[in-house]
Amino acid sequence: MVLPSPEFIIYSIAYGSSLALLCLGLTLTYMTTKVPNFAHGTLAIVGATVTLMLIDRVYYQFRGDPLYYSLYIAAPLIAFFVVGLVALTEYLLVLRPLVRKGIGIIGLMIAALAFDIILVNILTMTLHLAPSEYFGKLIGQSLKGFDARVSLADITTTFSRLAMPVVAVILTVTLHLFLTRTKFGIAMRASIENPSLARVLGIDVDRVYIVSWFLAGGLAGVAGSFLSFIIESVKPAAGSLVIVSIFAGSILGGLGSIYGALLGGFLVGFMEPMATIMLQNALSEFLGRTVIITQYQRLFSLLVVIVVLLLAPQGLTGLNYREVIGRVRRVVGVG
Amino acid sequence: MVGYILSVSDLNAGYGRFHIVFDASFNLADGEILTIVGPNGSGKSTLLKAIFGIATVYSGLVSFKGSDVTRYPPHVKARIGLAYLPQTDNVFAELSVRENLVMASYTLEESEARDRIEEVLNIYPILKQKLDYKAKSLSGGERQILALAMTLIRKPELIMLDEPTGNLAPIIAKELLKKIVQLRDELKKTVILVEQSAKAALEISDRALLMVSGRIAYEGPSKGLLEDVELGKKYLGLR
Repeated sequence: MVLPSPEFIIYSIAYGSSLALLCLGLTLTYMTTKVPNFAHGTLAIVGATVTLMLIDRVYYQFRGDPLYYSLYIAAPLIAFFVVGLVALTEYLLVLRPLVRKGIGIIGLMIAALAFDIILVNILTMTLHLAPSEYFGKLIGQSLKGFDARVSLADITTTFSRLAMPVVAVILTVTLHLFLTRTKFGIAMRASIENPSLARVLGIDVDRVYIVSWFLAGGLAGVAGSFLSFIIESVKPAAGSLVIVSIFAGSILGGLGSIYGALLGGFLVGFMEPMATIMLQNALSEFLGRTVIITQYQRLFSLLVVIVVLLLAPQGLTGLNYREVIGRVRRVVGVG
Repeated sequence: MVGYILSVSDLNAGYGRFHIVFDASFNLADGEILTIVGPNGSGKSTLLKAIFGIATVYSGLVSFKGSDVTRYPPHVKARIGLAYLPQTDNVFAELSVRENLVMASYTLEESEARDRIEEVLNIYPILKQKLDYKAKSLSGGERQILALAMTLIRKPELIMLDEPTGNLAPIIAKELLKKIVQLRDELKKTVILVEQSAKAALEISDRALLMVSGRIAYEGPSKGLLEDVELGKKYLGLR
């Protein structure tokens, strides 16, 4: 069997890293408002669009210049704040008023879907109705050619694919320190676990939720900024594809743990392209002709959702690992 | 009303359209333990929640140190000296003991919070050894002690405890009741206790309140209720 190339493995790690951040954000918002945010995929596309605009308007002229590398700091940073504000808008203008009116989970899910549709339309209008002298050059194009190429030994990859895992690790460690070492971070965990007790103790739970939504959006913006170099083209509706993988990773992670979300997101993001390409290679070898199945990549995520919900609905964090290790030991005859 | 730390007059309360407590009136003097007892569903916990502002008050008055606090939201009541300890979920299970104590002192200045945490750790030294343990790993009794410690951090004057010994082994429940006596005798706190295990709780209390079908059926010294054979047999399972 032909194994994936090192370049493809690097690509899968980068995709897994961005999906880990997206799952983390989705889980954070789910834990606060208890509603799965169907707009989360489109939030990532807003981040990708910010990157596209930045290249289009500012960095286009710097291609080949060392200054071009500042794009990898500027784009995620701007995307963090822009998408953070978009997510905050969704919470403050749509979901919070409905929660306060006592609307149930079905109503909130429909509201999140409606916000997603509105967001896609706003993106479409921004990209297609804006005067062509603004954001004109790159609309609908792939940004892969705008990702700086990097050669390491015999491996040629791109700068964003190397940077994404590093950024994901830095953000994860920062978030961990924020949640465990700062008073507000601990209050966030407390408010998520037991909002009524948190209120009794004088914690402003609403402020905690506001910060959670901003952070979730911000992380989606950073992930989307890097995804813009990976996805075929930055299209407003692309979020509907990404959301499948985000849900798969979050459900695998357990939807109740941010660390589970990181792990679930990375595993789904890494395995989705890897499993697809390995199956494609195996099928090609078996049939004796080239078979292309990468367009069915999301089937892997759907399969993960079905298997996890059937066998371990609590996800990875709900598993009794001692029991699992015991079972494995019994099967392999150790201990 | 002067002379009482808490006065409740003609209180009607419940949840939404479910009217549970009817015309409750009683007074509580500073430094006393009042135990509210009664059969299941008699409105004991609802009365406590109504006083703290968690259940809906339809009419009546709750007065704390002479001021009308009936409509104050719970977090405001927490700031002016009332504390309420729920029956369940009264600690953050996923947080460590230290983090729980930090959350209990959330609105205090950092130096003051540190001092208060140190004070409660001296009152309950068992928690000192478990500071980095997650609350969910504590035993039932240790959890209730942590919850009491969290309540005490704010230095409340009136502490309301909703079935603190529920789900505890009898020996641990007895220990916890001793801690409640300590709250009154050593820390000079006023305590309202809602309890299922009526006899043990009444024995440590100064006053008692028996609730039946949402109404107060007895209000007076706890000794009086313990000695009332008819009420004790009918409503409290005492012989």
